[in-house]
Amino acid sequence: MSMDPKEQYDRIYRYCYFKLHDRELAEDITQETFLRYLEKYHCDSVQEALRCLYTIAGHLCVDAYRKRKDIPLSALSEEMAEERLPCKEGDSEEEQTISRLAVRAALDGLTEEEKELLLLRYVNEVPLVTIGKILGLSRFAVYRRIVNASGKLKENLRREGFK
Amino acid sequence: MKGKSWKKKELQKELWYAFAAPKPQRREEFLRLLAERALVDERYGLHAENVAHPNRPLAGLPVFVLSQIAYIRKGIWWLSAMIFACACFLAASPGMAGDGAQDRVLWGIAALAPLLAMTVIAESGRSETWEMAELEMATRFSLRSVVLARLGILGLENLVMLTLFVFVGRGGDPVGQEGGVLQTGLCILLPYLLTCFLGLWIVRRFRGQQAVYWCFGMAVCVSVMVFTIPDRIGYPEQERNLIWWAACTFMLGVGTVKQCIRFVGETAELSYCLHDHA
Repeated sequence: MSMDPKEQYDRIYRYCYFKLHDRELAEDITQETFLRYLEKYHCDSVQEALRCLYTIAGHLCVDAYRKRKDIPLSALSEEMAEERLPCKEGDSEEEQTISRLAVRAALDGLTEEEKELLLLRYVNEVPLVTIGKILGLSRFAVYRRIVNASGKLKENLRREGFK
Repeated sequence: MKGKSWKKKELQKELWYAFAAPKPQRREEFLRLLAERALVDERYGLHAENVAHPNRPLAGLPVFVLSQIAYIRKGIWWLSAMIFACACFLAASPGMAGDGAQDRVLWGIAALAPLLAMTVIAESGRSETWEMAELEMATRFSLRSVVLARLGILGLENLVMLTLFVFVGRGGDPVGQEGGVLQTGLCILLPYLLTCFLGLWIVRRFRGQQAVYWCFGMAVCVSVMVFTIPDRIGYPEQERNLIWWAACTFMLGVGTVKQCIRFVGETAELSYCLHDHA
């Protein structure tokens, strides 16, 4: 096995959670993704393995999204309560909270595709070529779209009063 | 806070927080299971063959079915080969010369068909016979898949053998003048399907070695019947008899398929019960 599941587990899980916003379901799909990958594929390069993993995860998320029933509000509030993030040293808790709320608000102004691109590139650190293969785009198209999405995000932040 | 400027790295970090997901709860357990599984796969060489063929499915359906050929007992293949050798010997035997020789050869071969059916039945009930079903439930592939794969392989092998029987039964001339291929096929297929139908019913009803003895006794009875009964009920060469033979063969075919479905279904039910009580 060319890729390390320990290294990729959190990233795939984050990707699934971004798609579904349901912790249990995202974790189920993450595990299903790894099982399917190990059952059916054996890729020599890490890039190829990542492409397989993200493609399987994406398809499983679409299937799950279609099948899923409405989530009760109580379950959502429980998850949101647990979603407290660690604070950075140096800044006060209040400042960090404001920054994060601003980033979230700025992200809300982006399309789902743009958010997915930013997640894959900046958070999960997937190479441009691999993102292109996952989304069926050329490397240059991916680069352009990421630059546009970042520009849009920065513009939204500027409107919020951040430089 | 307003008017704060972010560097690219800082913005990247903020994005990381913005896309953060709640902590996964079953991560460690799953990774431990994966590591154990990788160890087992490595030990049994499941990855070794794939290194030479990257991107090839590790255990797709064809690979799985082909792998099951190795697990069918060699005795079954030898028995099939011996039955075919007997059929050839019967067809070439000088004692079978003279009037009505072709019919004698045909019924001789038809009497061998139940023994051929026994090879499938003996293999299908193997897990039950040796009381290994419970253990096999815990293996990587379900017992149901294994049973289906083996039944499929032996069914295909028997189909080839039956076709060869028809060829040998016609004395190497499948489109001969005396009766057609259909009549010859019916003569051989009817006892074969009767044995399959009754054998699967016995395997479903009886457990362990008892089922093997019952099946063997039943197969011998059908073989003897093939020699004796057609003289009284009429050969399928006559048009009136042909319809009855065809109808019986069809009904037995349907019955055998139903028995197969029930047999496989009961295997799944057994699996369900075991998992339910685990």
